[in-house]
Amino acid sequence: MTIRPVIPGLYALLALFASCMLVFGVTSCGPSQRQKTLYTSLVAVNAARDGFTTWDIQHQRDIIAKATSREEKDANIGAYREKQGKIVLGLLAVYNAIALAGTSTDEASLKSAVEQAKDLISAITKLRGGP
Amino acid sequence: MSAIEKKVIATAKVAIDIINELAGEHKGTEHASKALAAIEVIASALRAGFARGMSPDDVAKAIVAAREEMAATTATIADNNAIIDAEGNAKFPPGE
Repeated sequence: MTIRPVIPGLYALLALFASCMLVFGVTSCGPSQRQKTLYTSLVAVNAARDGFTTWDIQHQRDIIAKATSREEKDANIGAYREKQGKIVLGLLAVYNAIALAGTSTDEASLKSAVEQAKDLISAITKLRGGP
Repeated sequence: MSAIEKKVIATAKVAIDIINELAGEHKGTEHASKALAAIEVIASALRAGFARGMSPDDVAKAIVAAREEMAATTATIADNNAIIDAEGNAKFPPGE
């Protein structure tokens, strides 16, 4: 399986705010708690994403292994990929929301990014058969 | 040229660069909605970042970094699906 390296640009940008806070204090770095919240969300989403992509290929292999005909394999893979597509769209939406919240100061964009991240992580956990 | 004019021009250049990149990625009218949606996100981020006093470069970095995460995600899933399609075809050859 190929896992492509993820360029940690967002980590770098958000970590910059966090390290700035440590060195210069809160007032000189703007909304540090906001950046810490977004950084935590990003780390959680990336961990969920990496877990999902690893589980995804094994799950599809299991579907193929259990299939007894090409038709059954196609039907079951097709049904799974509809769910997979929703997770991928959710990931893209969360990354957009985090980027937007990272450039904004309003409460609504922060709340939206955090809630979207939580919802997505729950959806991934549910799809993987978790609690 | 005033400082605010320079800021506006720099912001516009960043937006144009990203939009040009998107135009290259999303060829054809069927993908126009994707490109437009992405452009709306970029425009919102630029507006918000600009209002907050961030430099256009910092705003662009945040957007580009998010897009890199998104590209890595879709690429990994595409790789997974390609591997699975090959393995599925090996177990159940087409036409049999």
